[in-house]
Amino acid sequence: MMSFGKTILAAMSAAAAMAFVAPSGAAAAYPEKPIRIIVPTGAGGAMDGIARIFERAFEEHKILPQRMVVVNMDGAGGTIGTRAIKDAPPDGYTIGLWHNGLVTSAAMGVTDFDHSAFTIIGSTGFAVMGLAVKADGPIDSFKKMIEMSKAQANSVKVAVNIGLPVHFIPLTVASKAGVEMRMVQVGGGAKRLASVLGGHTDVALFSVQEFLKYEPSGLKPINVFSKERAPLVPDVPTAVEMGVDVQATDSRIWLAPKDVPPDRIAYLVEAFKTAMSKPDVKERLEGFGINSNFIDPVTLTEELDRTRAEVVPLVAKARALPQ
Amino acid sequence: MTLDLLDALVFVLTPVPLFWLLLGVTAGIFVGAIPGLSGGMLIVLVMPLTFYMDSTFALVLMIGIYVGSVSGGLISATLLRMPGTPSSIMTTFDGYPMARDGKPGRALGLGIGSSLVGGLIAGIFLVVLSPPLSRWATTFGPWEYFALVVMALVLIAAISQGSMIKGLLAGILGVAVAMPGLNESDGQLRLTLGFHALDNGFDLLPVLLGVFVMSQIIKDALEIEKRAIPLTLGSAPVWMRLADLRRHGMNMLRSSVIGTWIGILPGVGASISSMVAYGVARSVSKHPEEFGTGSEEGIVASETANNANVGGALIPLVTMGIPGSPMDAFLLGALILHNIQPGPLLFQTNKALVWAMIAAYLIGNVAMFLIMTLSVRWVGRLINVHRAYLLPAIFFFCVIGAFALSNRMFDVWVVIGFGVVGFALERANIPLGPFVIGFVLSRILEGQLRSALMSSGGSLDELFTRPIALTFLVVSLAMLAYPLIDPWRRRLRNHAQVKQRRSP
Repeated sequence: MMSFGKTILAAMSAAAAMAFVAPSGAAAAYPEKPIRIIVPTGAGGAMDGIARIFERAFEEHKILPQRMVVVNMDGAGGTIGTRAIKDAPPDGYTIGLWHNGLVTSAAMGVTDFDHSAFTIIGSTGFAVMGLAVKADGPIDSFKKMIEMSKAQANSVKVAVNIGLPVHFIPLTVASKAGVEMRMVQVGGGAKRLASVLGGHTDVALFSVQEFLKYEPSGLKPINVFSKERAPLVPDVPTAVEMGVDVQATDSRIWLAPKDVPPDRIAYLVEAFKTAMSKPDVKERLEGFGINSNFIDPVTLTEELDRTRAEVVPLVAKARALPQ
Repeated sequence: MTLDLLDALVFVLTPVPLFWLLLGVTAGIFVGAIPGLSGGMLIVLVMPLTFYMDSTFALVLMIGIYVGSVSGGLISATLLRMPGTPSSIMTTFDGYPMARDGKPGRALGLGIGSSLVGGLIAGIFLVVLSPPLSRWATTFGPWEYFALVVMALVLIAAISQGSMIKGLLAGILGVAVAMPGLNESDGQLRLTLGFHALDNGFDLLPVLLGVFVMSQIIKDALEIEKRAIPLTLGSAPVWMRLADLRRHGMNMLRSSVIGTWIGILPGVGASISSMVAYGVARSVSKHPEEFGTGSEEGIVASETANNANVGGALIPLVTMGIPGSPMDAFLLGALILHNIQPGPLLFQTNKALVWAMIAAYLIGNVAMFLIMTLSVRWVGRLINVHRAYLLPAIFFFCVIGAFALSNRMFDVWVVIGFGVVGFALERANIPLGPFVIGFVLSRILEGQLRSALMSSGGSLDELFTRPIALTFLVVSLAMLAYPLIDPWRRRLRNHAQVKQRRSP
């Protein structure tokens, strides 16, 4: 939605920069033109907000000699945008931001590529996720949820967005706990919240930030999927503590097309690290519930490989119509 | 509360916020009136510029844009038969015929006045009843949504004029166009034929731009040699009269309530608000046959509801941090980028800001009314601009608007392709209304029904045991049955009378 006006702005500022600053030193200093950030959602969501935090930070703190410009490419569960990132020229002037849905979309067969089709730049943080219920609803704990499901298969309704991590994480829980839970397609975050608060479904996946934000509305967290308890909600147990070994995070992953020159990727990594060291950036990322640690591509690739290994066996179940 | 509101109203009326509000409303009306450009695009464009502004001023500016853009659409809908925004589609059906019949000033005046009334009534709900309403909205589950959409479909089925078969055909075509793309209900691609460009199906905006705007451009371009009958606003006042308030008061109140309510529900949207209000207005009207040929009631219903939708959609935003429409999602994003955490605590943590937003909404509606009324004579000349200048400009904005939606050329081709489709449909006397309604509603209908069935494990029982859902269903059945029963009952009565007369 942005690119037109933004591109003009960017072009104007680029022209202004060219007019006043004589290029110094090497002829092919990267970046010599604005860098596009493809965001596979519409403007306004959390993913878009994070891209814009960096767009703003790179400019305000003069980290890059060029602007970064957010380009929203919404559609088909993010796959329109991720495909555009994959197919962009590998020159470092097109990068993108997405999450673990990269792996689940491939598993569901919506795309014919997963994270291995990209150069992974790194992650600018992750959100701790967990399940939550309605405070005065029938379920009051993770244990109760599993017990109810054991007593009667499909008696617990989970609000999900089919084919995305919010669907696969509860599926993994059910599979590891050896129970059946009823997955109900509800849609995006706001709709899942309304569905749980309205009592139409029992459980849904939220971030810890959302736990805190919607507690006054009557949302009650029952677990987190981190390794250790989350400092923001110290009373909420981890799934592992409850005997269900599921760990999952929602990482914000920066991607580039395959075969971008390594020196350009290294340059971008440094830029992201610099931006993340600024207190205002940290604060804004926290506003989106992001633990802002830069995670390097090797660790990230391992995490995504692990997600893939977990998700693939569940695909048949995820695609099956509920009975 | 009253004091907070008064404080906020006074604050918004001080020079700096008022400047941003007026700027927002004016720019909003402008992009709203231009088919292809939308308030959402403008908000996204100004968002980076607002980083350097005070957060309250930024929100005031954006709310001004929001209010202005929903209202501006009626100008092009009335004068050019091209809805400036999707939410003014229903206005084209009556606004344009009225303008063509020599009453453009009256049509615009009614639309502008209704927009103000709708906006203000929704404003009252926003100020007084926000928390209970947003609570109540969560009781709406998939069955209720499904039954609501069924009711809307039945209500709107009446919009189709002329041949029943052609109306049905158009509706089914609309449903067919909604089919391809990633299906939310099972996470699978459907009917994309291996074209990745089709993975997301056909988006609402490009299809509407094609069917309503591009087709009109093609039609006008073919007839460009014909001298159009010059239309003038004449000397008739464009102000709505007090008598109008009396005559259309009930309609306005009803359409405002419908608009506010649909606004509160996430993911439904202003275009459906105005469709439902229009359908209801027609079904209770004493002159349903006038709808679609220049009915005052039609314009009033459509324009009241779409402005009320804005106020309604703000309710879950300020009380729970849930966006009621895509535009509210932009506002939500803007809040976060300004380091303000939206959510149920917003009223406590940023009380002054929330009240300033509400005040900006209220004053924005009044400002919209004044700006549009005062400029309408000038804007009205648009209709007399030679089409050879006007059409290329509109084409240009359509292309930009479609492209900007998700930065893809594909959407531009969709606009052009559906322009040809729309033109062909009109040539074959197949109505466009049912086409769009089939297209817009079938996705929600399918999604909600499948969610509901997933939730119940395939059982339909809840549709009949949940009171709200059942009510909607009964109303729809009654409305379906009425045209069948009515002539039969009349015949029976006539028959009885004839018999009576015959028997001495």
